[in-house]
Amino acid sequence: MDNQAFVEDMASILDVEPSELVAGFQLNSENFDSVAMVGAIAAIDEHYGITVDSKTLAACNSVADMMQVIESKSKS
Amino acid sequence: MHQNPMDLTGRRILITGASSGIGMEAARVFDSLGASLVLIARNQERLSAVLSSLPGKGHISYAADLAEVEAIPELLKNIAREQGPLSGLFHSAGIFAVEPLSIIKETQMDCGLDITVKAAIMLAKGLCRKGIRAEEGCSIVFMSSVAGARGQSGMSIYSAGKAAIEGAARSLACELAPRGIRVNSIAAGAVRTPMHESIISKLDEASVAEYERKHLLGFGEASDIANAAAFLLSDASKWVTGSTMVVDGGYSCH
Repeated sequence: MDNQAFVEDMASILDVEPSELVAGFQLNSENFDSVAMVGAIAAIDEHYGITVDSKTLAACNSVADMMQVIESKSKS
Repeated sequence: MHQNPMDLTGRRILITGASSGIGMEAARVFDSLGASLVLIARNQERLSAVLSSLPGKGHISYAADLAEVEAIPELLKNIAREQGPLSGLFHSAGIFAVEPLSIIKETQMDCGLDITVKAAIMLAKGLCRKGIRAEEGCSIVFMSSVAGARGQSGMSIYSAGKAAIEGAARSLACELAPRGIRVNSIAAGAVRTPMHESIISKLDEASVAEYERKHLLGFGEASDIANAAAFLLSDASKWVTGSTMVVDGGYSCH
């Protein structure tokens, strides 16, 4: 698991600084559009070796939600 | 008073391959239109010479090798931090070599495609970030060539790279429009530059004449391309994105 590299990729996808990507960072239709979602799916696959579908990701309202999805998928 | 629609006053524009040929001429043209320039090339000495030849003020140069593709976004971040956000980017750096298939090796492919295609995409990746792109709008121009759409013996790597860059420009135009960034390319014909002269010097007279004859208006000048780039970087082209502007003296009419 490489959290730092994942955070850097997510910051690039969301067009923010990595330091801004705290757990409470809100994902909305403006910053998390369909292209961003495709990017996030690829980043999760690259850094954690997990396949997440867009439906699951679309249900995430924050970075914390996303990390929870990654964590639960890693265990399963 | 009527304002020049190609005015670049107050725009910070980055030029790659700025130490010679089309990039160097672009620096002159953009300077004359009022832009503040960030010049990039490998050779600091040649960059400094170009910089000191420009009449305008507020320009700066950075020596960097764009073959180090992974480092490009960080380079743009540093430039924006030190100079301020960028309104435009003209990727003029490129490698041209006539390479018959018989002598092509993988290393040549990497060399040709790294600077042309990979560097272009990483430049766009660097520029599109908040704080690096100018919030009021941004324009990216990639140098392509008629070889991207027209075949020529010995040019398979070069043609592949140029076709790729035009394709990349179209997709990047789609992806970056929401961030106010336009992306276009220029498909240039043969232009009299040092690179051009070195190609011509390897051909016999009849071949050169035939090559020039295919350019209905003769070989071009670097300023013909620099002027087109200025148009694509200025607000005169504010409704143009994802396009390939053909500036080839009529070469591709046939």
